[in-house]
Formats: sequence, C-alpha cells, structure tokens
Amino acid sequence: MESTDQSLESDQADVQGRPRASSTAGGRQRAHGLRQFPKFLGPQEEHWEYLILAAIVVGLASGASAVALRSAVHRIFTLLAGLEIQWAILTPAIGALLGVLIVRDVFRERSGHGVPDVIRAVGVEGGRMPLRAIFSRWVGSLANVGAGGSAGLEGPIVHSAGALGSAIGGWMRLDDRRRSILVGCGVAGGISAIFDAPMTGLIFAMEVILGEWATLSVVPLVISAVVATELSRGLMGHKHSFLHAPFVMELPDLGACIFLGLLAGLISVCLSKGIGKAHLLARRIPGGSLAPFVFGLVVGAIGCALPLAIGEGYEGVQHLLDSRESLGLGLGLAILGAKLFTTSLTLGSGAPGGIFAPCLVSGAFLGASFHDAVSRLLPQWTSIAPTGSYAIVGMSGLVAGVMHAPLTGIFLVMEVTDGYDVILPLMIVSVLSLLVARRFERHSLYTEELVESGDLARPGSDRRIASNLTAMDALELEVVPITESLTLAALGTIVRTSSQDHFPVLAADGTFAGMLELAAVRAQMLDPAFARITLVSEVMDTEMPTLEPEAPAHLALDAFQASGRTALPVLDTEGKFVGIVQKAKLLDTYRRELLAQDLTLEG
Amino acid sequence: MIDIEEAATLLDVPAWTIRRWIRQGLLSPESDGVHLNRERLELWAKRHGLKLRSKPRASPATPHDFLADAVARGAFLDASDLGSASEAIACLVEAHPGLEPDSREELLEDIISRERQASTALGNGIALPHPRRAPKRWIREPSISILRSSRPIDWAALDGQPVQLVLLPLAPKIRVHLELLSRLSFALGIPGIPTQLREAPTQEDICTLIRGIKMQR
Repeated sequence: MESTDQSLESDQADVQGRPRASSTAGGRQRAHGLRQFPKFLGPQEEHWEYLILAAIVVGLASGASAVALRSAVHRIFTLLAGLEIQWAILTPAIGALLGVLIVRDVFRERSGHGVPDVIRAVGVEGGRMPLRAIFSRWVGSLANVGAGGSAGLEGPIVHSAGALGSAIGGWMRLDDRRRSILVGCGVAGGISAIFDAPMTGLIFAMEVILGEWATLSVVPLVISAVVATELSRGLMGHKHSFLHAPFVMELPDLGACIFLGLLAGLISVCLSKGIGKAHLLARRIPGGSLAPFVFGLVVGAIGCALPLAIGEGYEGVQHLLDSRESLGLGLGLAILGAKLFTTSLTLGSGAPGGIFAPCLVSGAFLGASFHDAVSRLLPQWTSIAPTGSYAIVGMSGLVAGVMHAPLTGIFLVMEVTDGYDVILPLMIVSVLSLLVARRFERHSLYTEELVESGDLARPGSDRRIASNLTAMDALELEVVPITESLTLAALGTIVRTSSQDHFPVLAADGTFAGMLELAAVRAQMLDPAFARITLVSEVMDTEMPTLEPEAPAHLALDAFQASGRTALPVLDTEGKFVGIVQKAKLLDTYRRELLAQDLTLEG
Repeated sequence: MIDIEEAATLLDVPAWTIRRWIRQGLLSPESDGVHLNRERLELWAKRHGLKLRSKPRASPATPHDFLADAVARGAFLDASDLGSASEAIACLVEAHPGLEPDSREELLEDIISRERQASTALGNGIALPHPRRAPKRWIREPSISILRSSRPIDWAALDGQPVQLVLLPLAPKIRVHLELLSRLSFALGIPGIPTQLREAPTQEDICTLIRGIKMQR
C-alpha cells in the first residue's frame, strides 16, 4: 500500500475542510516538511514519533506555564496581604475588574472560566484554539486571583496549556485528531504540574476534556503529564504540592463517610447554583465591568474578616492538613460558607479563574467541619482519623459533585497521599456526592453552557458525527435540470433514459425555479393527452426549503423532516443552483461517517 | 397517563419501538408496565430532540364527489357563435359564479397567456385551458367550468380537430390542481363520457353523470 504523500488537508480546503472560494491547483505548494515520510516506513497514520516529540514539548511548556502562574500569583498575593483595610477591600475589586478587562477587551474573548472553551475546541472544532488563548486567561487570572479573587488557577492553566498544545499542533500541521490530543496533552501537563500528580493530569484530561479513553491518546498524554511533573519538581522541589499528607482512616470512619458524601453532594449543588445565581445577578447590573468590581468589593470585605476564604485558598487547606488541632467548628463552617459565597461572586461576575481550587478548598473545610461536628456528637466514629483525612476526602467529594469528575477527584487524592488505603472512603464520598449532585444539576459547571449551545460533542456521539457533515458531503452534482416550459410529455421522453427521480427546474434565464418530483406527477405523465398540455412550471414544487452547500447536516435533516420532502435543492449564496441532496443519500453519508469515525476500530 | 399506543402516536414511532425503548431502559413506564407519564415522556423527547406529533399524520382522502362538486361550482355554458379560443375562455371566466369581480381580468390574462405558450387542446375536440400556475389568491375552492360550443373552434390541436368541449379547471393549490387533472383524465378516458358531457342537457345532469363514475381510488 503506498503512502499518500499528499497533505492531509487538501490545498483547496480551508481550515475546516470546506472549499475555498478561490483556490488554484498549484495553491499552497509549501514543503510538507515534517510529513514527508519515506515510503517503506508505512502509511502516515502510523507515524507517532512527531506526536510524541510534540507531547514532550507541550509537557515542558505547560508545566513551566503552570509553575510560573502559581508562583507569580502567590507572590502578588503575599505582597498584598499586609494592606490596610480600605485597600484590602478594594484590591479584589480592582483585580476582578482588571481581569475582566484583560480577557474581554485586550484579548477579545468571552469571560468565563475557559474550560468549556477547551472542551468545545476538542469536540466540534478539531482541536483548534486561538493563539491569544495562551495568554488571555493566564494574565487575567494573574490579576484577579493575585488580588484576592476567590477562584482557582487550574482552569486558566488548562485553558492556556490547551491553547499551547493547539498552537504546537497547528505549527506541525497535524490533523484534527492529533491536534486535539495535543490539546489534551497541554491540559494533562498543566494539571500534573500544579498538583505534582501526573496521573491526575492524565485522568482529568481524559475524563473532562477529551471524553474518550482510546489507547491512541493515552501515550502522548502520559508523556506530557510526566514531563510536566518532572519539570515542576525540578523547579519547585519534589513533593512540592501542598497536598502531600499522610492519610489515616479506619472502618468506623467509613460510616461517617457515607454522610459526608451526601453532604458533599448538597454543598456541591450549593456552589453550582450559587455561581449561577450570581451570574444572573451580575447580568442585571448594567455595564459589563461594573459587576466584577462591585462583587469584588464584597469579596474584599469578607476577606478582611476571613482571609482564608479569598484568593486561591490553599493556605487554609495546608493549615487543615498540617495541624493536629482543628480550627474549631464555628470557624470552619464560617470559612466554608464564606468560601462558597465569595467563589460564587467572583466566578459569577465573569472574572477569570477556575473552579477546581475552590472545590478543593470548600471540600477541605467541609470535611474538617464535618469531622469536628461528628467528633463532638459521636466520638466513637471519628476518634482515630484526624481532621486532615476528612478534609482530603471532602475535597474529592466536591470535585465529584461540582465538576462531575469523580475519577479526577479520586486519583488526585490517591496520588498526593501516596497510598491506596484511601480508596474506599474516597469512592464512597465521590460517588455519593456525584449521585446527589446529579439529582439537582444534570450537567457540570463545565458542560452546562456547552449543552445549551449544542456544542457538547463527545467522540462517537451523534452530534460529533453530524457536526462533521455538511450538505457538501452528500451533494449530487450530476443532476440534469429541466426548463420550466417543458411539457410533461417531453419530460416523459427524458425520463425514459434517465434514472433521476427529482428534477431541478430552471427558468428560461437559467435561474432556479423549483423542483419536480416524478412521484408527484406520475399519473399526469402517463396520460398522453394531459401530459401534452401540462407544463412543468404548472406542477413544480416551489415551496420547498433550499440548502446552502455549507449547511450543517443537522440543519439539512431538520429541513427534510419539517418539509416532508425527500430531496432538496442546494443553492449557492447567489441563489444559483448547485445540486441536490437526497435524504436517503444524506443518511448513507451519515452512516459512512459513523464508520469512518469509529475509534474502536483503531485499537 | 397514556398507554403505549398513545405514546407511539405522540412520538410518531411504531408501538414496537416504544416497547423496545422500555425494554432497553430508555423509557420507564409506570408500575403496571403499560402506561407512561405523559409529561415525563414529553420532557424526555424534548431533551433528545425528538419531535412530538400533535396532529394526525394521514392526509385527508379526497372525497368521492370531488370532481362532481368541482363541476357544480363552475360555470356552465352553451355557445354557438364563438370564433376563437380566447373568446371561449373569456366567456367562461365571465360566467364563473365563484370569482370576485376585480380578479376576473387578471385571471383571464393569465389563462390566455398560458394558452399562447402552448395549446391546451387534448385532442378529439376537447380543450383544457387553465391558468399558468396555482395557487391563485382568488380561488378558494376547486371548480371546473364547462362550455359546449355548437360551432367548432380552432384550438391549434395536435390532431387538427377543432374543439367543441371546453373544460376550465381552477384550483387553489398545485396539489388540488393535479388531483383535478388526474380525475378528469380518468373520466375522459372512459368510452362514451366525452360524448355524454357534450350532450348532457344541464349542469345537474353532468354532476350526476360524474358521480356515477367509479374512480380508481
């Protein structure tokens, strides 16, 4: 079998494979460089060396980016920590405002946490992300979270690293599939570097972003995750992640964990709904920049009283895990409530930041408070396990309930505690939390907006398949049109030697006039006398919807269903007839696409 | 609460499919296993982008008296001094009982221009003039107007025969027009009918005659 030396994207196609308006055959004869493989090595699809090389680069870049952002934010935060009260209230407001302005006006992106954009890119846009995404939320969250905004950096890092992977994939002229994998590599590297936990990065990338578990993707993802982790360890020391703590839990604790799981689910729903409500409230405030500022003032005010409830928040968590004594039930609950509130305000207002860290922080305080409460009421249940263990398990519960990512939560905790003892309580809490949360919120914060816009397209899903197809994929150009002044008798002569069932009808000046379906005029055509006196123009269909060549398949299918026709004409933007699409053929095309996109066949 | 048959009609799928979906766990029935909660079903369908059907799908069958009723609504003339096709058509349009007065001119022009495009003579002395294209806003119900001319009119027929029976169909929609034509074509193909149409004394008689014809469908 010969390898195809032609590039995977035809010279005549634009970025999404649609025909360019102007293209010459000699078009882009740039050297295909990286993709000229000697024939004896086999077909191109099997060349993974370049993807692996890219994965290493992406891992290094995303790891460095993650470390840089976290250090910078930490530095800013500590710098601003000792301010007087009036500045302390103002700072988060200024930071939030700055963050929104940076993302929206400097980089011209919509506000929001950014992770849905990555999911969308992988789902319906072939792994394409704009270059500016590498910087937009990175800089934005630097301002917002550094100044005290109650949000995490994981989301912005995921967004930035994903864009990095996309950019590198673009420079290497990789196909959509591999480019999407590189986006996943960026995500995996970013998360791995933050938590010093390569498996977590891998699982997060697969569970949340890619939505698939194909063997094909695992290798580059693992490489990026490991490279990023090693880099972060080199820069920040081994086991730098705050979460590395010993874990202890005995059998009685498992009973308590059941309740903790249910509670975690409820708290997760509180957080999700809180962000939603704050978002609605923010929309009602006129002027897109006023809401972040105003909400930021509230966050600042709360931060004066409870500094552990604002900013990224990991200091508080560290304290919970390290110290032997608890903070006290009252304080713990106060911080939990405050954290939920401030996070809703910060993220609801559209200031850039992620939800991951707030989940961990809230979860930690939930776990700790739960432990305090239960120790007082039923000491025999929790006397052995320290607060820290409950805090850790609580974290995983929130990740499961808010992000609908139970595996990520479980693996995160498992990796940072270096042990498997934690699995049972983790699973109990995560699964229960997820079940409770799903009862109230069908979709996670990440996927909610995608479902609304119809862009949640997991591999192999109908939406993903259909999103690839346009009318062009089923277009029939070889249809013979007829003129409207033709009699049915004359048409009969044509029909005798044609296999067409549908005829486009053109007016005398060549413009499209309508469609004639043989089935509709069968009786008339068979009566010679009537056929002689009936003109095509008198009986043709002019009320059918028409399609454009680039009409997405799902629109075409809707048009077929709504109109009840079995063939529709395709007209270009100037109204000139191009061809027809038959419903049966479109469905065949869909089936073919299903088979072509079947990832299980690749192994 | 609806049963499986009603659910099938609502979703426009065979009852078999509803039962299969229940078996596969996509739909959950009530405890008796044969009824479904209507609201939940509609929500499920909406979530999956499935369209609900509220109207029955079957298109109404054409009533048996379709053709006869059309004749009854049209004009009915006997003429003896018409010289041309245009005159014959003009008479029929003028005499049509169901048209608004200011639409007659437009309609006449349309039918005449169609006639000029191509002759509507069927052969054997019958012509079928008609407007260029339905629907016309001034025609609400299908009608067939009949003119018998004792003086043969030259209609540029392919078989050379002059025309003595003029039938003018008018329909509000293409579908109705095609239905009229196909029934007319069937009727005219029955031996003896064209002669009877030419010789029937009144419009009533023609209607009765047509009603007596057993249509194919």
